[in-house]
Amino acid sequence: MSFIEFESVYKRYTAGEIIIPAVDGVSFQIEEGEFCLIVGTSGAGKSTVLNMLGGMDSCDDGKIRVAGRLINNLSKDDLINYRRYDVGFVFQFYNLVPNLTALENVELASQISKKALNPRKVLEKVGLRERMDNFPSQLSGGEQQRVSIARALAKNPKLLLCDEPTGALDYRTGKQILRLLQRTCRETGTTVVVITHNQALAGMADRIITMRSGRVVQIAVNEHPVSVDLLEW
Amino acid sequence: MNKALFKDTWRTMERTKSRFISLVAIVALGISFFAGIHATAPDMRDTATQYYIDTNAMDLQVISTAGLTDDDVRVIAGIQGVEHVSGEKFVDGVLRVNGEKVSELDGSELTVRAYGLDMAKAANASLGTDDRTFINRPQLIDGAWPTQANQCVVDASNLSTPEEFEIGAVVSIDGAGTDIAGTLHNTEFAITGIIRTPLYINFERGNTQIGTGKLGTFVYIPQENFKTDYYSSLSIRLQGTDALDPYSDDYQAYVKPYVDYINSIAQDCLTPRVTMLRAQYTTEVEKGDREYAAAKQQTDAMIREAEEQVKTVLDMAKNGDAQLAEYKRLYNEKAAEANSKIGQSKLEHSTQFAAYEQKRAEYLAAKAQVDQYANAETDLRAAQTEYNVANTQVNTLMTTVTYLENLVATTRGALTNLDETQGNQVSGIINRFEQSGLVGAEVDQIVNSVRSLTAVGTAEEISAYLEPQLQTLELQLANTRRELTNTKALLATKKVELDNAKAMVEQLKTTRVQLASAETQLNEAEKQLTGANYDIQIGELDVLSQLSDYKNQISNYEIQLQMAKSKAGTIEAEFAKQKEEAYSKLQAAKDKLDAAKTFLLNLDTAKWYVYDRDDALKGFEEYGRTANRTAAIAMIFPWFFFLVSTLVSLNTMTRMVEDERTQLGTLKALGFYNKEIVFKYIFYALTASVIGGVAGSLLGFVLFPYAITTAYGIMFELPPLLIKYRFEYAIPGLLISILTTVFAAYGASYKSLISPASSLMRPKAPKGGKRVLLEKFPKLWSSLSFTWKVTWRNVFRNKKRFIMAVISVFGCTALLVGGFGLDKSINTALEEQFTNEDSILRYDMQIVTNGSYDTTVMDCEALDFVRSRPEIKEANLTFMKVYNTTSSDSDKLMETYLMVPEDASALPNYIDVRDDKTGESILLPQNGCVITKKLSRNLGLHVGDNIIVNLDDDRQVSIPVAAIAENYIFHYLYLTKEAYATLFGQHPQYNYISANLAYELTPEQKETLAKAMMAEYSISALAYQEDIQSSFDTLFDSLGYIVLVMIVAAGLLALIVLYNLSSINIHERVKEIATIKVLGFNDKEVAAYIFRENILLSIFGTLLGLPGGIGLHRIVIMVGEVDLIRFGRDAGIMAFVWAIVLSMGFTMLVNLILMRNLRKVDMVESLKSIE
Repeated sequence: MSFIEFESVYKRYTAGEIIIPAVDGVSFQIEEGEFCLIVGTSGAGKSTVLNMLGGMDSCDDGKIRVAGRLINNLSKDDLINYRRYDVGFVFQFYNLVPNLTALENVELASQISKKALNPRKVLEKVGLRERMDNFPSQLSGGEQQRVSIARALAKNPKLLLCDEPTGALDYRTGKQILRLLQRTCRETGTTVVVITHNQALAGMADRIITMRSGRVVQIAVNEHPVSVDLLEW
Repeated sequence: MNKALFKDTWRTMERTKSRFISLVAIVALGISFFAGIHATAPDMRDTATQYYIDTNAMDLQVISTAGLTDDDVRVIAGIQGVEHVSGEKFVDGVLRVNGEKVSELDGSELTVRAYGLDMAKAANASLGTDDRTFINRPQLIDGAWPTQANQCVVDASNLSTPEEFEIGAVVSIDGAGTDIAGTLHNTEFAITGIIRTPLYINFERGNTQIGTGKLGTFVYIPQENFKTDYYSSLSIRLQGTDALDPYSDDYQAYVKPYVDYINSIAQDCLTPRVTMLRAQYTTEVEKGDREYAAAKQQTDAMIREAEEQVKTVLDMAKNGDAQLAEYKRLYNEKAAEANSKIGQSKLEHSTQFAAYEQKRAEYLAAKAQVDQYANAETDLRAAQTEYNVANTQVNTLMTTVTYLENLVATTRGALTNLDETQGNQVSGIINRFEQSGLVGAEVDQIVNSVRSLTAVGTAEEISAYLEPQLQTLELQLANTRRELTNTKALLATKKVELDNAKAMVEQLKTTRVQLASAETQLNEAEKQLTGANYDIQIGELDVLSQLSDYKNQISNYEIQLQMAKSKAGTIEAEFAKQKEEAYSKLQAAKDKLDAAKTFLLNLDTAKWYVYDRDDALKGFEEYGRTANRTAAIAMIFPWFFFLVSTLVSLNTMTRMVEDERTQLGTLKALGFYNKEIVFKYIFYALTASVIGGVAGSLLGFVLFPYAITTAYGIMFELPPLLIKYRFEYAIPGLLISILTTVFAAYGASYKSLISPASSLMRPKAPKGGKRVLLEKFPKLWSSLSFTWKVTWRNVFRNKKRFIMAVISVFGCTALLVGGFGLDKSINTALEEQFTNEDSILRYDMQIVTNGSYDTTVMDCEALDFVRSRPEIKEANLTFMKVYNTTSSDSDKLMETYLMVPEDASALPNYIDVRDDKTGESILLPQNGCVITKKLSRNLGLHVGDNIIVNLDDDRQVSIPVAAIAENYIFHYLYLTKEAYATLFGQHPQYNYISANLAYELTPEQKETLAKAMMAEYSISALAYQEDIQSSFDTLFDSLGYIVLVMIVAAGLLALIVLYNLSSINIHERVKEIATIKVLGFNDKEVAAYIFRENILLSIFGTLLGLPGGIGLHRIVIMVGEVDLIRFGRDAGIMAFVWAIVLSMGFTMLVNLILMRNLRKVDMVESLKSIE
């Protein structure tokens, strides 16, 4: 059994009288420890998939399993716990609490997790040893995103979900972030799911799921992923 | 404006409905307070002003101690600028409602002033006729105007009128020592209506010469009831004063010259009247003196006689039963004695009777025996005769026998001899027979026969013949012998019989003697018995007649006693009534005389008093002061709300513009002009401000004046408040709020619009985190969890929000402290004055004596009576009189109770006169007086200053203030009797009794006690303290409105502002909330994360609000207190507790409401870019 399994998952939005199928019968598997990319254009339904996977949104039909556990029909409290202990989330716009320092932002997550890592060590690991006591406004975009990743990692999650983590970053910084994510996946064995519209990143992933109009159009397994440093776009 | 833009604006409003509404609400709140409280004082003044115009209230009043005449009216009416003068008649007395006495708050009898009124004019005025000659028009509130002379309309005030004042009730006015019948045709009036009059604006009724000196209430009676030809006062209306604000200095200045002028002509007007009156009264007094002396003598004699009678009857009623019992006992004793005597006689009689009976029996026995022997003598005679017959027979027979025997023997012998002598023997035989001496027929026969035989005569023949003869003789002899034997037996029998008879006769003789003796004895006994019988009958008759006499006496006595008893219950009352009637008649005469004397004396000092409205219209001045005080709070209070509302709307608009930053940029990029873009926000703000402003001012103009005047309402008797929409307050308020919100909208949007469109469309750089002061203390800081850290930082990061939230919670808490504090202060006043264990007034009852007592001259019988009641623990006399007091620094007149205890050492049992500051009991000083706190403050007096007491006769007494006592209701001035005597030149005329009950009485017992006291002639009125107390409860209850308004205002302030701020806060941080939700925070953690800030802000606000509340409480008390009342100064710990609990409660309520908003935050939001 795979670590993540989507089985004919549907998600429909109603806008007036029109029903828009955002996710239209999606099925895929992701193995534990994999670095998986979900690639697709805007509106392909990849964010919805991520939201459902992260326990932030529910599906209308189908089954979603994570580590063998059916999460699409968990209670609200169980979902909170699922997010709390099992999932780390990296946002496109970092979503740091502006009034907390980098360290405190990480603590925000670590303090609610049972198996949390030391926030300082995690920040050191993402290369922010010197910037720990800075407020988000005093950090660059890349640094903020690294705090965001540190915050996600500090909970020591089984699953790291990243929604366009480089979307708001320049090329160089974006590469740094992707490198951090790739390294984290390799070093800690965390399953990492990254959403991107950038096809060029396919080379660095173990598995590439391509979506279009709410459907999975291709699932490719890359036997020999390369370091992100070798990729150009 | 572009149509699309307009649509967008409209939709924004729709979309942000709750924000729009809360903006409207906050603007409305601010304006309603601002406009409403500001409008209250003008509303109050306008109401009064209109009232004075409507009622054509006098500008000036002239009162003369000598009365005023039509000449005076003409003189004053002739003064340039005087519109009209009308003379008014009134008379003071004591009120009776439906025949019952009515008590004033202090227990004294309620005094009343009856004004004469032209009822036709009053009725016309009610219909709207503006008759300028009709001054001081009363307004009918309920009922109808009188149509008959014996009808009246009465005072409407809830405070001064007795509850019996109802339409249909009958009030009567008692002169209470004055000759009211000399003034009025009728003294009894049926109430037809309830009115208010400009003469009495508040519940003060002023002074009177009657009773304790405090006027209780008033009635209006038809003018024609007055017999008097002079006026009590003149009411003057000046031209053009309607156009002036009666509370303005202009008005005062306008009126002043008239006061001065009238004062200057007063003496000239007075002189002719004084001269006339003096002449008239001198004669009257002289005549009156004579008449009175005569009447008094007569009455006294009559009363003495009646008193004796009453005493007899009462004595009999009281002791008659015992006397009767004694009589009955004596009667019974005598009756018993008599009976025993009779009994004894009867006993004797019966003994004698028994003896008699015995004798009688004996006699009867004797008689019976005599009767038995009654035939004995006859029998004896018979027996004798029989015996004699028998004896004769026997003798005869024996003779016969002897004869026969001799014959036989002779015969035999003859026969024998024959044998011997044969031959003619006949002779021998005849011889024989002749010799034999025998004589008898037989012999003769024999002899004859034998002789016959001689012829033949042979022996044989003879024998033959003799032989048969012999045999016959022998037979005859045998027969005779037999007969003799029988006769002898018979004789023996007869002899026995005779003997018996003889014995019988002997017996009879004996019994006859006995009978005679018995008869004598019987006669003797009978005589005795008859005698005894007579004795008994006579004795009995005698005793019975004595007893029945006695009995008659007793029953007579019984009837008398019955009558005495049946009278006893009423005779005293009858006598008292009779006495009272007689004396009251006498008193009335004396009063009339005294009044005439006093009047005559006072003519020397006769004076005119010229009053302006301050003095003429009771409560006029205080109403003005109250309005001013209300205006004073309008200077602080509403600004605060206004400030908060302005800040909040500013914040709201700023937030709104920032929310739509991207759209702003987009519009700008699309080429809209800045002013077009800005217009949306200005329109939004304008709409909210206008709606809120109009709604708020409408609400405020009604609500606040209404609530505030309702609180004051019971103290002032005015027409319903004239509520006006006051543009002078609405427009500035509206303008300020419109300008601030619009400028906020403009400022916020303009700041954004000067940035290039591109940067607007990019997410705004996150606002820098900031370290707070607390972080300077790393130990403290690091001990906080990150959620607390973020709370602290957030709280301090948004300074605007911090200030607004803290201010509003501050205001909320302060209002609550003020509101609950006011409540406490009101209660403190009541409790400290009356109800507490150690309250100031401790007496249970206050009793007004009938008349006053100078105890140096006479004892107070009422006091003795009160003390004699078992329900009363203790009682002491007090002299109490109401005077106006003032001070050299003040022109205020304070209605003050002068209290002089007869026994100063007993005063603490009834009134705890204690130092206002230290709370220690004050011993009344020999020099100077003790005055109460509020009096000292109103008159600006301190220890050592002099208080001036205005006496009725225009004298003034100046008394140094020795101490200031704690007190809450009314003003008191305490003096020792020695000090009083020194200062006033006379001994106190005690007229009150303070009493404490010996034990708790049930209402029925109280009723009984009150009735018993009221039945006592020397007591004229009484009041239980708790009844006095309950009258104040109503007064103070009305102040509860203010408390309610404050609490509601506090709640609105906290709820609206906190809701507004918190919802903005949540809105601003939607992404942050979504993010922490994604991180796995549960609802509780999320709520804590956000709401902790509210709680922290509320705590800051509350902490600041508590001292703020103390200040506010002070202000509210200053405003709420009227002259006569002082509230407690302490807000009380519970006010703070409630303030904290409710402030935090409101915060929690806001949090609870917003909990829903938090739950609605969608995690997907976190994925969106910053707008």
